[in-house]
Amino acid sequence: MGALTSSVVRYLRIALKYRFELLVDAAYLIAMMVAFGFIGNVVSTNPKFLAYSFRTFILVNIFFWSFMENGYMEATRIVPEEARLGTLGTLMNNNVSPLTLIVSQMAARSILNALIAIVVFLPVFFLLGIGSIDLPGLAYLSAVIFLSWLYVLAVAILMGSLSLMLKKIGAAAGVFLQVLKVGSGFFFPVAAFSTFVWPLSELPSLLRIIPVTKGLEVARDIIILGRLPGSEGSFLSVSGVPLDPILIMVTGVAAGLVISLAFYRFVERKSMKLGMIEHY
Amino acid sequence: MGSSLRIDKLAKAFRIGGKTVSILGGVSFESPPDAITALIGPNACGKTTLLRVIAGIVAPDSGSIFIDDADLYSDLRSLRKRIGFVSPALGFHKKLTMGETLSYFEGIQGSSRSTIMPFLKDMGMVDSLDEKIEGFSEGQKMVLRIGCALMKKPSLLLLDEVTSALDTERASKLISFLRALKSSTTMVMIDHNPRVISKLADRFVLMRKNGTIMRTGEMASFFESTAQPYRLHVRPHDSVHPEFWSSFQVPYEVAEDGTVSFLLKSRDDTSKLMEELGKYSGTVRSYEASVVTLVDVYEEWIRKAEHDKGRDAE
Repeated sequence: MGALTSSVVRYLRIALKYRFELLVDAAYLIAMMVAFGFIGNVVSTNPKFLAYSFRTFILVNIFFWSFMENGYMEATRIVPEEARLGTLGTLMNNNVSPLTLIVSQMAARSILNALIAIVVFLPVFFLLGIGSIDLPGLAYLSAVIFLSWLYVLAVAILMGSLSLMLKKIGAAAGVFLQVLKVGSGFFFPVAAFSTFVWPLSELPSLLRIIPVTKGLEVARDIIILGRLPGSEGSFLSVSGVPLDPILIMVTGVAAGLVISLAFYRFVERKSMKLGMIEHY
Repeated sequence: MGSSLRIDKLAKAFRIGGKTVSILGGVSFESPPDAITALIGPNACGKTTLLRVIAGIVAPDSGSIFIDDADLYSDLRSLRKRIGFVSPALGFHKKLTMGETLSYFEGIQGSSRSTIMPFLKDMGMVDSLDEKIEGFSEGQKMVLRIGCALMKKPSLLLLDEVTSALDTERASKLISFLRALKSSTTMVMIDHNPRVISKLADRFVLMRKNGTIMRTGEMASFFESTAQPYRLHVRPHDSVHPEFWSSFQVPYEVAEDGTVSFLLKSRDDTSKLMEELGKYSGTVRSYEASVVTLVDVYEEWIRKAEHDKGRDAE
């Protein structure tokens, strides 16, 4: 009993030393509460936001995010994992940076998860009569999924950099993912934000600048409704195919990558200077 | 040919528990191409940190490292390609086989395992290529670590306690291998076994507890440097008053079992003292002469380095 009590006290002491982690745990709970509160609100009182069933909406959202979700989580964990194995120093001596590890882990896991997603979801879509996509639609869908993946990679680099600096970031990567999923319209359509007073009423337009939000909207249109984004009001189109969403996504991805790579470089220099890599 | 190495006023401090702790306090030394330099010193004197700074893993606060006269931290990515680093802290993914691990290092280094096949064969590891690393002993893992560093064909090889996990046979083979490698590779090594150091190193850098250098020089001078290399161990019949031993005017140490060891400068001095002691057969039961061992000298210098507070290398 004494050993158990002492161990509990020891773990409590250790946990209290990582205040950032505790903060993130609290933020995670709040994010989940808000997200599911919104879902309830949308499903019960605002069915007008969806031209199809909520089941189809959620199903396609899960399919879309499965291309990047696991890859993101594994990528943000890879630096602490390699540090635990003791490989970081030697890999750096071989010019393999933590950035390389983050990107390669995200790529490896995403390839596997994309294959799994295709195998699991295609029969389900077939059975439910969802997703009769033509060739241009498939090309467009592939492009928006790839650009969304690149954006999530930028976020993974940002969170991975944070783990290089703070060592233990706890659930921060998970919380950020949930926030991103809410912002992308995973749990409910982003248009639902407009039901609230300003600034939330302006939020849907702002959220649509985020590549992954735009990507998910376009993907739903292609998979569920079998149509490409409308060309009405389009300012850039090729052979009648509007490229505005692609342009918005490319801009967002470029900005995301520039910011995350700059942050990574800063953190890498700092951690090499402070010896954080050695004393992980 | 190996690289030349010049370390110039290297300083490194870490923030530990809210305090800035100096680990390296302005370290300077040089190694000519194809030399093996041993970093010697008490525990926590900064040897491993120094090796990691040279490996390009931890950036120094000040000072420079020149490899073939090129500043390491001005051209880190390019110069790292010349440096091989073997650390006991390097772990491997246990679910991968040795072959898969080597493939990974081939990929990241742009190297080929064919370079190290003779080494692996010599160390009895070729048959383990398809085995998962989770079944490897610490000795086997160390051979793999060395193999991964050697695949790079480094011109500067940094070795951190590479013999500690090896059995006698493998350690002996490794020492022979490294001696042969010396013609094309400069090496900097840390090892707590003085016999390994004496067999491999040409030069030494003796570090103090405060991360500064106490002495540097040729290895031969390290082991020959003791002022009293001869010992005469005397066993008395009964307890003897210290005045009796002092009367010979030769420094001495008394062991717990009562054996008195005289510390002598030459073989002649030893013979003279034996002659003198022969006159006291009633007090002296037996005596035995010896020359100090490598371990004696090594431990003596480590003790000195542990307590030396000076800052300037001799």
